[in-house]
Amino acid sequence: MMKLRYIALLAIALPYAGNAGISLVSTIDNKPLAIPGAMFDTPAAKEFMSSGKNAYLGNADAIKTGKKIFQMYSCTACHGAKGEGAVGPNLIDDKWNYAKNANDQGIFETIWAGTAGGMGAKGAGAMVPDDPTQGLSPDEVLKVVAFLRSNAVKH
Amino acid sequence: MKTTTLKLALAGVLGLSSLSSLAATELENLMKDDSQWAHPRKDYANTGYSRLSQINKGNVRNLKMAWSFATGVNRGHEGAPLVINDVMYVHTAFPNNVYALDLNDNQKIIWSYFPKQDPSVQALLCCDNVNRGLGYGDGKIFLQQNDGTLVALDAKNGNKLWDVKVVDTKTGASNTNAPHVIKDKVITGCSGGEYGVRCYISAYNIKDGSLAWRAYSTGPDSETLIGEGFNKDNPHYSALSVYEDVNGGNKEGGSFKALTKDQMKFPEKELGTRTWLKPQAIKNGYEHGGGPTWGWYSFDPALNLMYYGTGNPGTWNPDVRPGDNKWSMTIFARDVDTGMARWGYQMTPHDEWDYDGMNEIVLWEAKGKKLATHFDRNGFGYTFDRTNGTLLVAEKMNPFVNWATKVDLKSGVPVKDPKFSTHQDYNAKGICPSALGVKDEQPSAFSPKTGMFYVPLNHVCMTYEPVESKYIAGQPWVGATLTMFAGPDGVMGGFMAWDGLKGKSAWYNKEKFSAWGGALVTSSDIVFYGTLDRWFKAVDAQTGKELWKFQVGSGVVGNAITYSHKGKQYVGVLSGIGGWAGVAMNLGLTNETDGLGAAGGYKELTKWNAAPGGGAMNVFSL
Repeated sequence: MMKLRYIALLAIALPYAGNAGISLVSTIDNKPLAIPGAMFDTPAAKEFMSSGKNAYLGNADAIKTGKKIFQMYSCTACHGAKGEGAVGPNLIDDKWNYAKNANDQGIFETIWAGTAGGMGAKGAGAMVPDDPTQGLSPDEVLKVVAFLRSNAVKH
Repeated sequence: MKTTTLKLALAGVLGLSSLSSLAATELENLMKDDSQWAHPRKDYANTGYSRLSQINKGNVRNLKMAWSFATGVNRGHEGAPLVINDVMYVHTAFPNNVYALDLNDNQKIIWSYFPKQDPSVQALLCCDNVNRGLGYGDGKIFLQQNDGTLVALDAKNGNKLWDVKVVDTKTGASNTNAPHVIKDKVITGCSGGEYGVRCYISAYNIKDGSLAWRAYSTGPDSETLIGEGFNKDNPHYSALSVYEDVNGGNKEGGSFKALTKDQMKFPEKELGTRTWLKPQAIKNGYEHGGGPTWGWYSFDPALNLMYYGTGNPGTWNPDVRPGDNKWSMTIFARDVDTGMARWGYQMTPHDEWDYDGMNEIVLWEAKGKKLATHFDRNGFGYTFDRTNGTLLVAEKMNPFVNWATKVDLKSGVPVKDPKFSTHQDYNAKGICPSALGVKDEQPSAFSPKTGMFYVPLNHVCMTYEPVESKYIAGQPWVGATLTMFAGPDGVMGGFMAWDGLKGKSAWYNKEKFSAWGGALVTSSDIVFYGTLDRWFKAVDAQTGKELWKFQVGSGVVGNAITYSHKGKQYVGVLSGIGGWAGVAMNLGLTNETDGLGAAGGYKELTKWNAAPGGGAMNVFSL
């Protein structure tokens, strides 16, 4: 019984490393991101974790929710209402401070754990380390990415 | 034994007080000496005025660059250096380096100071990595670092004498203001209106950095330092509410009707908590109510009162903070020894547009009256009786101001136009001015000779959409998205001379871009200021006619100064584009359709400036 509980705890605490799944790294130092597997709790989040693909791209409802989250967490303060940039970089053109942000896994990593250039971590447990109830879930990050991609200006 | 101790203690107290008054006298003497520039706006009254007149209307066209000093730092260089006893003290944008340049030895560096600051503080600076300059007093140079640390440096060698943490960056607070030495205290502010910080103004003893007093902008009277006699002559400034809700008030379609003075209930106490009606976005709105204090502080030694403005309430979404939200958007007069407020007037009750009220208050006299004039972001130019706060003049600085039709002088309340009321998830269009204000932090100058104010201006309007946002300590808490565009004149800036008694401009020049550089006026009736398209200009104080200009390396957001050295007059200004102006100008860059066709105007700024702007001090002489 003790052992079982221990294993269950371990499963929650360990970074997600599902079968044939992707592994996520921090944009700051390239170290693995410790995101509890249980947080990938929606079909889209699970799909992302196994393939690195964002199932919400082009999904109108998800984009709408993504916009709300983008406002709720004041992303607009630095990146503008649509991600066009203000004091922070433009997120909808084709120029990236971190080349990997052009793909969904890369931008997920950047949003989750932040950058060394002023962007704070936004993922739950990473945003406010002593209060894991604050911050975005993986599913919410994917919706924000879907919102940003929907605003992308083609070049 | 006992008597000896008492005598010694007494001697100590006397010694201390005479020392501090000596320090005050030294600074006051430096302020009177026009060869110096010893205070951020030259004098306690914030005039930006100098009696130097060697450079005059007849010879100003011969001004040439005497020397320049590249700061080695990029981005917005606001504020101005100090010049004290043949040494110029230059500050920079983040990381807020300081250089002491020897004017007697070809501007050789006497000492430099390089603060070690956590780079993450840059993410907290909403509107570029600016620092507005240094303070001086008691042989010390004061630097207010962006990371909240106030540092006292030995003016002779740059050695750190003491430092103290003014604000906590973990709460999202930071600093951008210049510390102002007033008597034996150094006054410093707080930035963080977009982070839900409950801001305050603090006075430290210049001797050892101990806190003398601190006054919050919001909260209980005991913490906003409001007590007996506050607003004694204008008790209606202490009304519980100045508006009545129309169509439900804080929701789409709702608006606010100004009460007349007769309808208002006053005086009331504890307004810093009671004007944050329920429900707020968070439990007690005032606890994260903003009211930043990053402006230029003035002081009247005869009244012993200091004057400053508090900024916007947090968050920008007005629907989730019903009530007048005192004492955000307020001009305060406080006793500088105790911090107790003598009077406080709220310019924009229940702000719906981020008309951050922190701009400077300039002290002057006319017709035997002690006056104070303030050009607010909300587009009104105010003149008060500074002894008691009585409002004498409140007029639109430009007719394009549309959020209010007028300010009722009897009640002091702005009459809001319901068309421009802003509400959650509704994109209010065509609001003038934009959140940049008709004037932002760039300080105006006042000439006692012409009796006129010289005011750098923005001419920008906006759309404003409040949105739901979540307060998390240390994270941005903005709650609105906005788009800015050029105002009806088709340009984005201007510069004017203003009559503070009539509340009218005497002359007005259009500027292609926002005039984001602070003004200098001299007794030879020349006004100096810089522009974002890199011009440093001299204009005629009587007519506004351009007399001279020179193009510097990057757009100017710094304040023009003048001093003399070995009998020769110099004028100077920091260059290095940035600040909110630089940021706002960049807003429309990617989408041509943004900004209702003004995107071309924004875009053109990049045709005049390399980005990011390189910082430099530029100095000119005949």
